Amino acid sequence: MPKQVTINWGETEKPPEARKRWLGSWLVSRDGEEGDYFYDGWGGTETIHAVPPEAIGLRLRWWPPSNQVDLNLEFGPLPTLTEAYFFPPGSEQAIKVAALDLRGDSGSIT
Amino acid sequence: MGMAAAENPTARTKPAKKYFMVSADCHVLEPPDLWERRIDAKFRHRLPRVEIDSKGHKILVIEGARSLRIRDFTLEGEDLERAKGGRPDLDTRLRDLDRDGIDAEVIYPNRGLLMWASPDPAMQTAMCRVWNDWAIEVFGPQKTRCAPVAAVAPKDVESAVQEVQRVAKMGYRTVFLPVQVLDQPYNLPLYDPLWAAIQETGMPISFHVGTGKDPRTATGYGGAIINYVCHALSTAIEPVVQLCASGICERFPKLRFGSVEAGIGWLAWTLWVMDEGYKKHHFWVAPKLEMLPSDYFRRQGFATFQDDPIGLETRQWVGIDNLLWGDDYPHHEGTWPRSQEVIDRTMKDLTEEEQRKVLGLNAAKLYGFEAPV
Repeated sequence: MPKQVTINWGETEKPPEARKRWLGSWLVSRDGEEGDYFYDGWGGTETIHAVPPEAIGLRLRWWPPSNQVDLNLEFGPLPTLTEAYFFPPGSEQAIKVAALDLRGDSGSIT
Repeated sequence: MGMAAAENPTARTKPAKKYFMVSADCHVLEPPDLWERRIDAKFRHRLPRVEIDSKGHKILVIEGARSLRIRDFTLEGEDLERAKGGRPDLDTRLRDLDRDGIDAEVIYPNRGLLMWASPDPAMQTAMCRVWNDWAIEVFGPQKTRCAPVAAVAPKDVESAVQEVQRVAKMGYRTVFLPVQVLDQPYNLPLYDPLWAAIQETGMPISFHVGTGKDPRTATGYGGAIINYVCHALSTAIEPVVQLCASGICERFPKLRFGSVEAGIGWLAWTLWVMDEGYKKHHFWVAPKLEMLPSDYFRRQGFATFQDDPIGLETRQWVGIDNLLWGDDYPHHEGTWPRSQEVIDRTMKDLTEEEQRKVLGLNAAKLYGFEAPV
């Protein structure tokens, strides 16, 4: 397993108020169970995280930008989950992941 | 006196507020990542969420409820204002209350209405604890105007009793239970330790609609209205009847309970048919009660409403002391920010004393707000 993961949260070209809010969690089981979260913040940046020994992958969530109201949900904005990302077998010491590549929506959701 | 109006008869000045007003049903839009950040990590992947399907559609996924495709639409004007309202920011929130003439409010969750969606009691309990820890942190310091509700997951009774005792120490003033518990109705005696614990704290129980049962059951033509009437509002009848008819109110005579946001038009009829059933089906009725079921409601029950002229017409069948008004801020079916217009339209036949009670004094007494003398 990698010892370090770098996440590029994308949207650097957008003004801060138009960027998504993200929460990144470690995956600790193939059933999708999560451990601690390692990032809670906005897009437009790149962050580096030490991978804990129990982590076998990661899962990301995002919420609409702060200047948007998600009118689709009567309960308020719920997070959209990205696809689960499991570290490839024999991963190198450090790997790099682009958050937007994990969305699984072909870029249609803004 | 009256000079300004006499000099300029078209001038619109805000009238002085006539009554102390308590909205017995308001909501707060929680921080979007509240549960994701605070819940025990082992439950995080089971929280309500949006997933993208293979066609790129947004799908609402809630454990225990059927998945729904989310449709895009836009809102304008006051609809948009309501959609943006209800934030926990106290300055904005209190300004919104002032705008609608509200002196104090009882605060229910928004996303937290899903806390009982999962059939797993452990998941429910974990979600409720997150809400309970957060809501009192935010609204506890504003106790003269804000009373957040404490959410309790009742299916695991032992755990529920512990949570009731915990939230009572935290300063909560009411317990929020779902209107239904899957496969474990409230009339079962196994709940007695919970009723005893709640009675001991003195907190009333609030059964808010849209909880414990998926309120989005119907699909297709008419679905939105079928769901609102049949799968959300009408569900409030059951816990009221369960508590009145099963002997719970007799065993726990100081337990207060009520339905929230279900309106009151159904209430007079419900009280009537409870008694009718008790008398005419006496050979089937157990347990035998010392009083009629409706008497227990009048002694211990309450119900909140927003815009319900039919219910107000029948108030003499229920009792004015059992009725509480709320604006349901900021929900679309509520009356914010035009509550006064609704009150003028629906309460013109009420006496001043009746309005005073329904609009504020009944709720103040129940939830411990200090009303001006």
